Amino acid sequence: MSKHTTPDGDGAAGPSGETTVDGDDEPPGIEASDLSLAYEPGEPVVELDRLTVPAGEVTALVGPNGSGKSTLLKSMNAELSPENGMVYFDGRDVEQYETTELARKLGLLSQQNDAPASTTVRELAAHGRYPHRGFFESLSEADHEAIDRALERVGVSHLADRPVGGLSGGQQQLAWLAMTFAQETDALLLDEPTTFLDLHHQLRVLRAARELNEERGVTVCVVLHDIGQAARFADNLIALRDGKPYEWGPPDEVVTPDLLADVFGVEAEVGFGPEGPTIVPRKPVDEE
Amino acid sequence: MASETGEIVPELRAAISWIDSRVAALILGSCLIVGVGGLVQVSFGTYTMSILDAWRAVFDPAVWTNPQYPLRLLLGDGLGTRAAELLGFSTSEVELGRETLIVWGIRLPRVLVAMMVGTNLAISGAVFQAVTRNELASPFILGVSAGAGLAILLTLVVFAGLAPFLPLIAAAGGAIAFGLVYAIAWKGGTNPVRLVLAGVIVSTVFNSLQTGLFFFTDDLGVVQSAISWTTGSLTGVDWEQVRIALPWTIATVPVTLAGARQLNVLLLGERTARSLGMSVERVRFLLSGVAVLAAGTAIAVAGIVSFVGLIVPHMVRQLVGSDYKRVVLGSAFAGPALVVVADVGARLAIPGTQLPVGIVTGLVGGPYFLYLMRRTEVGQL
Repeated sequence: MSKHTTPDGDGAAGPSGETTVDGDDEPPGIEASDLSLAYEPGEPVVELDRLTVPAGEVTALVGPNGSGKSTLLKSMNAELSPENGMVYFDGRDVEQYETTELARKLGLLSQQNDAPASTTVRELAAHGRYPHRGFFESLSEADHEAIDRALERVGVSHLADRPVGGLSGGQQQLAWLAMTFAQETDALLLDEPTTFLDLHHQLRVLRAARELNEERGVTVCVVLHDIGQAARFADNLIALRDGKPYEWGPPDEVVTPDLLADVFGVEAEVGFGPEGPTIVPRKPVDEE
Repeated sequence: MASETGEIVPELRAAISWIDSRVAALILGSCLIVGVGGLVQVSFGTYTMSILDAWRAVFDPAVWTNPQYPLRLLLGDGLGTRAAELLGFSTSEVELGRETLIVWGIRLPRVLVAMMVGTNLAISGAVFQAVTRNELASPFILGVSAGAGLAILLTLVVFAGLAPFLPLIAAAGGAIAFGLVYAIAWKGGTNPVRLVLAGVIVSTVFNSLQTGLFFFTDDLGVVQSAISWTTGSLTGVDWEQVRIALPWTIATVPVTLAGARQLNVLLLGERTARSLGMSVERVRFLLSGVAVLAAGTAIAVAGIVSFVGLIVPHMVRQLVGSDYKRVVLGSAFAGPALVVVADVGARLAIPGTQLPVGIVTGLVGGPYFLYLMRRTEVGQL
């Protein structure tokens, strides 16, 4: 899909003008320590000692409903201040970043997205350039190139001039993904990007994110509902149960029948294929 | 979007590429309506002249070759004469014909004020519809009209001595109510729903107080004056009102236009706007503040004219799409068109009496809104 030939093209300032903002070539990692997250004081939703989203890799947060996946993601984007502990982005407390500074390095695709119906896909993608523009600056040539690259990476160039209101849910999601790609950040958070999509578009969203990771070394952290999908797609899994990490590491090590029973409450068979573990759920574990 | 593919000078292309044919047509059409409405307005009245005579009066060479006269109208006698001196024009008195005096002295300022009221209300409504992400929002959704109305009633009924400062007090009342709404809605930050709810709270209480005050007056003149202020009227406006509104209008329109990109991003939802690096609370408060300023300007010269701020951005969005740069620019032109035409109706519909313009905008606005609602699905902001 992409015609970029430099697999690690996020480093030197190539003719495409695509550089990491902080100037170093290392992709940023995300780490949390002694973290406690709460919406109401004293009622922590997430509690953990240590957690790492490895730099330059794809990490999936998995777990059942209400396990704190999205909450954890919010703390990584400084949307939710921890009650205790800290989240480090690229080695620095994420709360210490200026909003714009963070937005140049860390992108987010939210779970629910809603744009004015007559916005075109290109206009939507252009909003991804917001943190790179001054208050009165109009889109520069570099901005337009970034937008074109993003549209191409996500595979929606042919939809560029169509209003998002007329697109299918899956196409809309791709358009939103193009917006976060146009942001050209070094790390990307995706909050349940495949929920409500048909299978074709689920795979297209994940493939685009994977390609971005492989070509630009972008650190990706994604909340996924489907553990099978997460196991095939991600380099690392972080399985959450009741706001605590139950297990984390490569899918081969993390996905076991015990994990599926304890975390997801299903009895399942786990097979090991060349592309990672395969999961065949059999029946729900009885609650009693 | 064809204009975006043309290869002109890049900066120029980038600067104007968003003004497409739809926006251009809307601006042109609005100017035409304002022109025709304005001509009708200056022609008819107690002293009626033909459209041709009115046209001649507007372009009377005696006015245009003596810039001291329009300068005095625009800036006031003292300042206008000074400005004429500084610019090297004559400062002598100008002899003008009867038609010209009526058109320039009495009727033209009313058209100009109507235009500015339209512009301010329309852009204010456009901003509030984006800030609250609610297409039923108007400039008055965050308590501005209720605050202004209460201030007007208090002035007329209780503090009659302050009546000369009524325009200022009305606008200030609106601003105070807006501040109160924000204070109520604030809880470590705010969001559109809380803002709108706080607006309802403040409006309900203030409106009750305002209605209650009517009981404390038995003077019919005061009641009528209060009604004309709280429904919005352009009866008797003069160059004085032009002077009040013009500086603010000159300030609010470009600021709002510059803020249009922020509004576009704000419309993507708070979470997305934030993840794109916007300081959502700050942007929302500042743009709301500008919109309140615009609404306050309109209130100060015309009282609380309803529906304009609700309908015009809607109408414009139907015509030019939802890009806020286009919506704001289109509203700045379409607003005057609506108010000028409505004021023609308000002034001329019933011979011998003048209605508050707010009554006409409501009468025109309501059915138009019904038409919009029937034609499109509400929910497509």
